[in-house]
Amino acid sequence: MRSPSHLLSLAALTWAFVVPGQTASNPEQPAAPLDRLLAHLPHVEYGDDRAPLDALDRYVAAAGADQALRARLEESFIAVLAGDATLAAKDYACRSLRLVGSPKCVPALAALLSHPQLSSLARYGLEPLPYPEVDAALREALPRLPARLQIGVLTSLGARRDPMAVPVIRPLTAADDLRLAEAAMVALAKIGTPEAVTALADLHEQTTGRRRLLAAQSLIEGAWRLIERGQAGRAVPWLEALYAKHLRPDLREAAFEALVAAEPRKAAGRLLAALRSGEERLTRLAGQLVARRPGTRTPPRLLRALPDLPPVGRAALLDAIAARRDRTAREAVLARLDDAEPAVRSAAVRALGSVGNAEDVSRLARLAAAADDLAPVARRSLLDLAAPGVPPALAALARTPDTPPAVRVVCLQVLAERNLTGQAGAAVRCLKDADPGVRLAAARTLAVIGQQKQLPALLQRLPRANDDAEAQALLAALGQVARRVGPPAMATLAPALTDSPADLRARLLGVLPGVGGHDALAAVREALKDDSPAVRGAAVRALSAWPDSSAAADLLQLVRQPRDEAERTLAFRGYVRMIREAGLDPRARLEHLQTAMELARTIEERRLVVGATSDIVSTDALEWTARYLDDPALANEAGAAVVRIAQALGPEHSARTLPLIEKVLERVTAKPVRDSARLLQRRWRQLDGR
Amino acid sequence: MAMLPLMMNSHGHAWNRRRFLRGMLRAGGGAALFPALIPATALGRAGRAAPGERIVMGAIGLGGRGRYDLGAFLNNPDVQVVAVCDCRRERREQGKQIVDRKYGNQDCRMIADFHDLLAREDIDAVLIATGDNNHSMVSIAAARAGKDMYCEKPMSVAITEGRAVVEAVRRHARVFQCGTQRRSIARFRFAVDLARSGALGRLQTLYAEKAPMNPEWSFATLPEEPLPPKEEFDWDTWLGPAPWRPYNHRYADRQFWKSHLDFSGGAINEWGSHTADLCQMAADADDSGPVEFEPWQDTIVAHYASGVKLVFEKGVWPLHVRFVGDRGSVYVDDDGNLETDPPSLRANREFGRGYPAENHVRNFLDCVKSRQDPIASVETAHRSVSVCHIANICRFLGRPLRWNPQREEFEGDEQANRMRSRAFREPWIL
Repeated sequence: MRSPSHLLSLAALTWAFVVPGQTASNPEQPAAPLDRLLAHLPHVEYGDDRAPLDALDRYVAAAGADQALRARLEESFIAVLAGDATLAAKDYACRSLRLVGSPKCVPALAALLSHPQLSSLARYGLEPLPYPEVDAALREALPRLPARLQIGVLTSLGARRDPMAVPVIRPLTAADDLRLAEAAMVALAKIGTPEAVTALADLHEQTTGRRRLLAAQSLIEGAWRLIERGQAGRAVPWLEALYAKHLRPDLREAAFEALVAAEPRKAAGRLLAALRSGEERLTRLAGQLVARRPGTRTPPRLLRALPDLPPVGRAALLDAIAARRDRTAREAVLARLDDAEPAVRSAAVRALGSVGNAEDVSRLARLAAAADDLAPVARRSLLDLAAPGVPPALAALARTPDTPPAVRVVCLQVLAERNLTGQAGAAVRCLKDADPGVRLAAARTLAVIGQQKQLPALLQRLPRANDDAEAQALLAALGQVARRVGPPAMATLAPALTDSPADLRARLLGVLPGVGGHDALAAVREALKDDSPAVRGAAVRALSAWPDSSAAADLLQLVRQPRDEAERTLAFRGYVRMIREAGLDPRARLEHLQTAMELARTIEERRLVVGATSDIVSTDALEWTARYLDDPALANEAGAAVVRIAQALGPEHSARTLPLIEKVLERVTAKPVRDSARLLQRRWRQLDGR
Repeated sequence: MAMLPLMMNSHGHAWNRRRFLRGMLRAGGGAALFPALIPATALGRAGRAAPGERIVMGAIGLGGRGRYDLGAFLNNPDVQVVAVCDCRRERREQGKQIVDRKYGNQDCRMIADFHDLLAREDIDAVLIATGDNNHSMVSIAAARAGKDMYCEKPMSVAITEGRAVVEAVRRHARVFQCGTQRRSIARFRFAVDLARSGALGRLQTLYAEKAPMNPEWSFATLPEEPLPPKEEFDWDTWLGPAPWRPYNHRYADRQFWKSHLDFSGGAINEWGSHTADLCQMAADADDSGPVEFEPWQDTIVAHYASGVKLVFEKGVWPLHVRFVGDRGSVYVDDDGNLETDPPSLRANREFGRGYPAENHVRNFLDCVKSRQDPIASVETAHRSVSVCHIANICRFLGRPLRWNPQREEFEGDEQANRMRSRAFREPWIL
């Protein structure tokens, strides 16, 4: 037996050495101690430190390109299997022979096939070895093993598809132990030679009950092997029998699918028969098989039959046409838009989204504007319609006054959902429409697809809005477009910020944080001096929402010298928000928050500051925040932040974070925070192996 | 739903579920399926779908994620959960409590062996939220038993296992949704659409995060402890197809097994199942994958044939992805943040926070009815998790690898090819 001290020193040594496959940072480091690793191997136990085996793994991997090393390792592992090594050592040797084994190791592994614990490991080593000796060993072992171990060997013979194993496997399909019989059937199916599949077909014919069902399942799998081997003709009679017998619905469906694959020339006829059958599951399956056929064109025979199929068949075929994106079937699809069956109409509308063109925009938009179950389907199809000319067709329909308003609204919404920025001009035209719904939809569409070119039109319409809803939609659109455009938007906005009435100036100031940049900030600073209290208030709000740290000094100035308390509160909150969102580096964020803490007047403001540290991934932030765990009024916020920072820092900092997590559990009363802390504590401890 | 799955009665005649229920009521045999009284809800009242319209479900695996998913399913009026299964008694009881509380009865059956649940012919679909190690095994068994399935991510722990799930699902004509629910969350979809639509220009680099996990547990073993009673914790089932080892309670600790490559895929797989999946979607590679992988500093970089690069980044909360093109970029995370460069790409869209599964579950249920492929289909899920498996293989071998996504083989590296699969421990069948 090994001594523990020997193991410890060995583990320490192996980690210190360079082993194959690792990059040597120091060329003077000694070579890996392979001899010592191999000498130690027979003594390893389950649960030992795996460092020596990890080091040995590197040699096993390196042996792929080193024949001498490979032979040496194989010889050592064979010796481990043959000797009185521990189970854990033999386990490792089996696994490693999988990667370095040659025909030479087969007898040693095969000798373990009857071992109650190591049999599976012996096969683990044997199964992937590409040598006929392995097949012979498995065939030879099979008859003399107990049933449980026979199942394993059968699985390996099946995985290796050994045709010579059929005679030894076949008798086991009659075993009393149904699990063993099933394993034998599955192995025959995997082997899939005519001899093997005939054995399954015979069994299926001659047995009853559960064994017959198992035989049918395997027969289908075996038939597929024959199809793949180009021997489909052998499989067809068996599959036809399974299809006709209704043994179980899923078996019938599986047999049908195999039949379609087995005889491509008869496939269309079989699919048509299934589509005509009226059996829902079979029909749906047939539809799927039509969808999966190679190419895009749907067989003409099926298209011709479409009008006369039962409703479920019509719907299934239309779904298949949609999946194939078969544009040649468009006329057939259009004809079904007026089908008497709602499910078929729905399938036709879906299919039109896939195979339609620009001419179908009007029809789909009208269907989408109706208040019925088909409307959402039609809308989806409008979103999917991919043919050239569809975007201008949608835009043309949206701006045509003769079109019903509901249809125009649909078109505008689809322009937005499809993000068709090139068609934004149509929405501008609609801003002045007589219909209020169209005007509103146009503003909302421009919010999504509007560009710099559309800013003047939005700005022009804003003071002319007919009601509050329209004004809000226009302002929102202006804000969104200005945000997308960024600082260049000031070329349009700047004149309005000086020349407009106070209420419009105040509203426009709300847009400026989205615009950002020097000019926009200068405009806000100017507005802080405005005569109008509304404009000044809007300017403070704009500063407090500023997207980067360029407004930090302005906000601090307002906090320190406010005109009133409301202004101070707004500025303080804006300052803390800015610290969180302005993309500052962790150190700068922490310094800003420390400044904010000095200026905080109320407990709510102190809580806000402590909570804001949770996004800063740094150990400094962690420790500064943890200080506030000692203040009962701030402990919950500080605890939540500590947990979040610790989580973001990751397990490599667990030595530093775990004591603080324990402190969180001592001081924090909020259950969600305590739960998160416990979860993190458990996870980190597990990762540490504690 | 108008779809009426057929069942066989004892005389071999085809039944549909509605006829079956009526027949049971007429024959007074309801007690065999329903204790004492048929609740009003079973007859389609109280705001729930009528029996023939319902998807009858079982839930397999009821740890934290399984119970969350179960709740998401129970919120759908066209779902009826009739049975729960877990290899731990405590979790079976927790699952039953959740279901019974929802329905106001005691009808939910507790089942210890998932084979017994899958053998129930009244069940249409199953939720699979076992440990990751058992996902492929249970998925394949479910497909063979004719069940549609919502399987939690990752759908496999080895490349060939994932392909076996794809084949089983396709060959048995089943519907499979992988629990990569970010595919059904508007914010993530928007980011993917930006990448796919060309709005970011020519895609250059996709960043997928790894989870913050302990790499020292990747292959760790633990000392033997006495086995708990099978009824309390069925260790043989929990261990599933993973290689044998002596029992130790810590293996079943989520942090441990998620980090261990015998039971899951460690840091790369834990978040990569989501983040690499979104990158695959962004690269329009749902049915293929990168062609080269290379170790780079402390992580792995993969290259698509198109020239797009996928970088596994060190995991920092919240889970996020970043797609960078030559004309713009987008960042999106679990906290609800979506940032674009330029900002106008966002076009004022507003999105929610978090990563709920409700839409994803609904997408699955709709596909069970329509038989269409869900948004995280079996092929898609297999391709995404394969990227993670290959990254793990690359990390272990410590050398660049060339991957052929068509053949699903490594080129010129026999050792790497041997790592594509793992032998299933008996008595579990792949």
